[in-house]
Amino acid sequence: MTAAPVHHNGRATRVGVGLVRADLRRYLLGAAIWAAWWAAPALIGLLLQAAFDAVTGDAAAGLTFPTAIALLVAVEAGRLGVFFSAFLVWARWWARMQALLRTNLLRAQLASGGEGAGRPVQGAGASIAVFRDDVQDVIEYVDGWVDLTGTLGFATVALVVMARVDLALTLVVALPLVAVFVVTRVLAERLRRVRLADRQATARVTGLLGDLFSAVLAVKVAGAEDRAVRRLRELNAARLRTSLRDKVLEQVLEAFNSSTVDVTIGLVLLLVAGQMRAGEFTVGDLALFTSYLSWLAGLPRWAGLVLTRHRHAQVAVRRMARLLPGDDETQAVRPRPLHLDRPYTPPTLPRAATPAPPAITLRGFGVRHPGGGGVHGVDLDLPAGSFTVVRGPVGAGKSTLLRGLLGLAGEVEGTVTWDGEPVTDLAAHFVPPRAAYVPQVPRLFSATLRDNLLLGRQTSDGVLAAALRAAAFDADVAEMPDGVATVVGPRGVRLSGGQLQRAAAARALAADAAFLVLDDLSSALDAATEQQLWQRLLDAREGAHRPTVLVVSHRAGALEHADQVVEVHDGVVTVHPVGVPDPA
Amino acid sequence: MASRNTHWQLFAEMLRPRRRALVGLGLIVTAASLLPLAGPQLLRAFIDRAVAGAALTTLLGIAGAYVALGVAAQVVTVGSAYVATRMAWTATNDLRERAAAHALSLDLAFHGATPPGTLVERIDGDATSITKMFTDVVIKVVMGLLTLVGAVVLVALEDWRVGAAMGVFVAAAIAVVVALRNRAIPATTEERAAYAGVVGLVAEQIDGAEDLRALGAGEFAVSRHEVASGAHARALRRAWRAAADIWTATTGAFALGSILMLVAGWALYRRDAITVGTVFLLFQYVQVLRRPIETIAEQLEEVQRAGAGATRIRRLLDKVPAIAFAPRARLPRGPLPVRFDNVRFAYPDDGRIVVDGVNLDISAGSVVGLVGHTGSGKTTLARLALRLVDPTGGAVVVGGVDLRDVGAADLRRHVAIVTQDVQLFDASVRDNVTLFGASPVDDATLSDVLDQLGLGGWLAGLPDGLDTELGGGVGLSAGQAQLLGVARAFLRDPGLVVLDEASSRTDPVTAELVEAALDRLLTGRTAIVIAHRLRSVDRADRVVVLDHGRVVEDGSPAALRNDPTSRYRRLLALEMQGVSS
Repeated sequence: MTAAPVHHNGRATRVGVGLVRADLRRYLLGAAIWAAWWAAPALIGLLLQAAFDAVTGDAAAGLTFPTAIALLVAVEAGRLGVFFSAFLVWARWWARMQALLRTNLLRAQLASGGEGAGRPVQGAGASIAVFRDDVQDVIEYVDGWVDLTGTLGFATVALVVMARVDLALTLVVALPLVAVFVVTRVLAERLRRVRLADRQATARVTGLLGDLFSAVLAVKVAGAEDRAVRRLRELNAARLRTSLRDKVLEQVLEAFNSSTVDVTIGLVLLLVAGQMRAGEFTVGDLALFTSYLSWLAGLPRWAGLVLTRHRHAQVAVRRMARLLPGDDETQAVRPRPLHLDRPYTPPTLPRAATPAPPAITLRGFGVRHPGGGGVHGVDLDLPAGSFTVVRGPVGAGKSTLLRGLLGLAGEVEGTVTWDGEPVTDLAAHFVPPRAAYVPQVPRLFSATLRDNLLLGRQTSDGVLAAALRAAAFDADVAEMPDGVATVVGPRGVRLSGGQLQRAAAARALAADAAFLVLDDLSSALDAATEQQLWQRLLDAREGAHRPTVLVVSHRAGALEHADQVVEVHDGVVTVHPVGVPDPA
Repeated sequence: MASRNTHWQLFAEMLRPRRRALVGLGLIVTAASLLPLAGPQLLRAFIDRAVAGAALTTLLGIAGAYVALGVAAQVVTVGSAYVATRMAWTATNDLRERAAAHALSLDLAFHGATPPGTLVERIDGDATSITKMFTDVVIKVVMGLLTLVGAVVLVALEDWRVGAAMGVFVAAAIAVVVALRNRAIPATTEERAAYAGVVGLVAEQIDGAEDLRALGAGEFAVSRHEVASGAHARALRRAWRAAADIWTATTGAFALGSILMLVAGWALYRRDAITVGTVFLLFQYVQVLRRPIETIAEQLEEVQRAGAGATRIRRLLDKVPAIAFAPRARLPRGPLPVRFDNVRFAYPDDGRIVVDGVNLDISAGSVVGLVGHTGSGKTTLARLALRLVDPTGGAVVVGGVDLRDVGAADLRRHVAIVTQDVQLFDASVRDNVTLFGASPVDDATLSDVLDQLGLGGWLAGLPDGLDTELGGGVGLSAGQAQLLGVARAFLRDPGLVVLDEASSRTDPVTAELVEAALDRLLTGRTAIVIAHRLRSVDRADRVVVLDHGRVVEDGSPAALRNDPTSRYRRLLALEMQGVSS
């Protein structure tokens, strides 16, 4: 984690302000209640002073002891009530802001083109950290503002009250707080480095264990068990050292903060000894100072915490921006209605009418791949209702061509027209009911099969059943425990590779699109199932709509029905009209 | 209840060898918890003497002592943290090593059913929760309890009635906080589960983002996230509410205690039973109570977590390895003949028969290819020859000795396996090839072997030679990793080699190197080749075709290829088709 460039410094603050604005009423309400909570100790200190002065009889025109106690009870009770309500308001704010940030990030990542689409990120693992940790970091940062304001408010009141008792004394005890703040920052920075080393040492231990158990066959057959454990012992010993350093430093930091109270109280004692003898500094004053000082000792820690959170938020905001449209981090805090307070059933989306099968043309079309390769200079005509088969060796660029056309593969060149009209935003255009796609490795989600196939769109049971049949998936569904209500996906019933592809085909067919794009349906299917699938798919085409179809396939079943064959070789595309003899 | 016993037993086992360190820890912890209690005593002395107009030097002396005491208390606290952490880590590191050694001794059926990640979590994750318990419980709970008891005793010395009342009060406060905490646990667990649900959903959606974008289903996915977020928001509110209950109870009890103590002090002072300094002292002792009461309640959860971790580790340690070694005979040197004597093998858990009466005689120095569909039993047969599993019937005889009579070290020295997927370790080249020194060779021999196998040029290009760390910056191609795997076996000069040839994806040049290395390795040794691709049995003298755990064909590759009715020929034809497609 390197320091953010200077011009980035404002980004975390900007997002923070946006977050405050997103639910301004609740934030201000929460902040006001928290302010009351922070102010209470100021009163408590004064009442303690009054109580002790009443005991010793030093209270010139002050409160009697019973009055002071009664007020103390009232303030404490009020403080508890304030705390409780602040917690309840804050719980709502907290959960709502988390959901808001996540929703905006998710929308940007899942949008099919358009202005709201962010650049798709590579690697789900890394982006999950953004949704989980970075969202948390930003909220904690904004949450810290409330606490810091409260603490500073209390500190100001406390210092004024103490200064009115004894100005010189107040200045002397305030100085250690500054020193503690500085030393705490230095120690905290050191602790961060030590902690990093400790985490690395831990990663080495878990890494070795993971390697050993992944390679357990090699270890066992080589009789290397003892040696492996010896290696573990070395790594364990190294981690013992880093852990010790971590723990001790953490305790030193803690001790430093705790001893501040004792040292400052001791300083007060040293300085007031003379005045107390003379009766100029009362026991009540001492109670006031000890009470305030024990609260003030927490101030450097709060300030440090907010600074740390600011640094974390800077990193978090930068990482969030990468997922958002135009790298604009403020998109993360765009207000948006959220249904969080009671169980929510999202409405089903109305079904748009399927357009007529399109004629699609590609001219000088190409896809630039970040790592080189890609496809270039493609001139291709897909007549309305035609069936085009794409073929070529592994890695030639077949999938890239399909994904590029659908706006899924990043930067493209050339033009694409739909019934003669140029398409400017491919990703936004090639979606149902215009187009549907079956990827090579489809994903299903942890939801019912029905939800997975319809994706929130209104569809009649007849259409769904027809799609299942056409995709040769009906027999599989019949065998599932709850039919189309069976929960599938990572946390449901596991489907085999072939089932997954047929489910994805059914999903695309259920969208009833005018243009169908299928990427190598057959790679996980046996010949018989595949034959069945093609037959039904082609039978379905004989109906009212004859969608324009673009498929990647090597199998004879598909080639038999092809109107044209497209060969892709090292990113170069050649088109063969119908009836070209099979090269094999 | 049984599990409770097992985890306390495990804790006792871990601490027994550290009795002396434990005594030292006890002493330093006692000092650290009692020192802060002297503070209020000094404050009282200061106040009473100041009010009585004692000499300034006396007052300054007391104030100085107060500062010194505050610093000393913190120094001792840091010291006790050091001692406790050191003890906790040494004790649990022993446990980690013991558990890792035990897990490595368990059979492949166990490892097949237990993902490496789970084992890492068991051995390191659970041990770390025990470490945390030892350090935090010792530092926080024991110190907290000592401080509480000390404060109550010191107050009782001033006035036994006030002391007794405070004792009752402390006990009640702890009971209430613990009860509230236990009540809060379901809400917290629910909140964590709901949050895991949200994160899991987002992970799935991001993973399948392309499908969602292509199908215009972004808004649908976002609304599902909203549903999950709503469930989490409500769970979070319940969990925070429970936390607010705890906090309010603790703070309320503490405030009430402070006020009651003030009233008691005032009453006693009015009857001239105590000085004003003592009123201050009594009040200060209530302030000392808060942190311990809170932390004790917090740490009880940690203890529960560690208990669960200890129970899981105990269960792992109690698993008995299926293979026990009892050396009764030694394997001869040189190429080893292998005989499968009516060998049967069925999985212990479901009784599924994988090897069904195999009789096979493999002469010393010959190369036999095992061929068959997935599930035909060829991998199990190879594992039987390595004694990674024991037959459920019949015997595997290597070098004239029943494998069950051979010692572990002897067996591992003479029987080796080469797989095409070679797992590399985050360790030096030397450790990777010798497997952390399991094959004891000097660097010259090691370099020589790597050179012979075609890795000489690669080794020469490494920045630190044999000391170069692999896994991090230094990459290895799949082919080079395979060569390292061959080197691992080669170093031990085995009499029997099992070759597990998975589909290979290396470039032609490296593939040739690997072939040459394998030829070198197999010269003068017996070899069993598990052929996933029929082309890889080219080097075999003999092919054995397996089907459903039985030998269905046995002969030279040429003879089987030329037999128009042979299964081998049919398999070969199928494979050719697959390749051309």
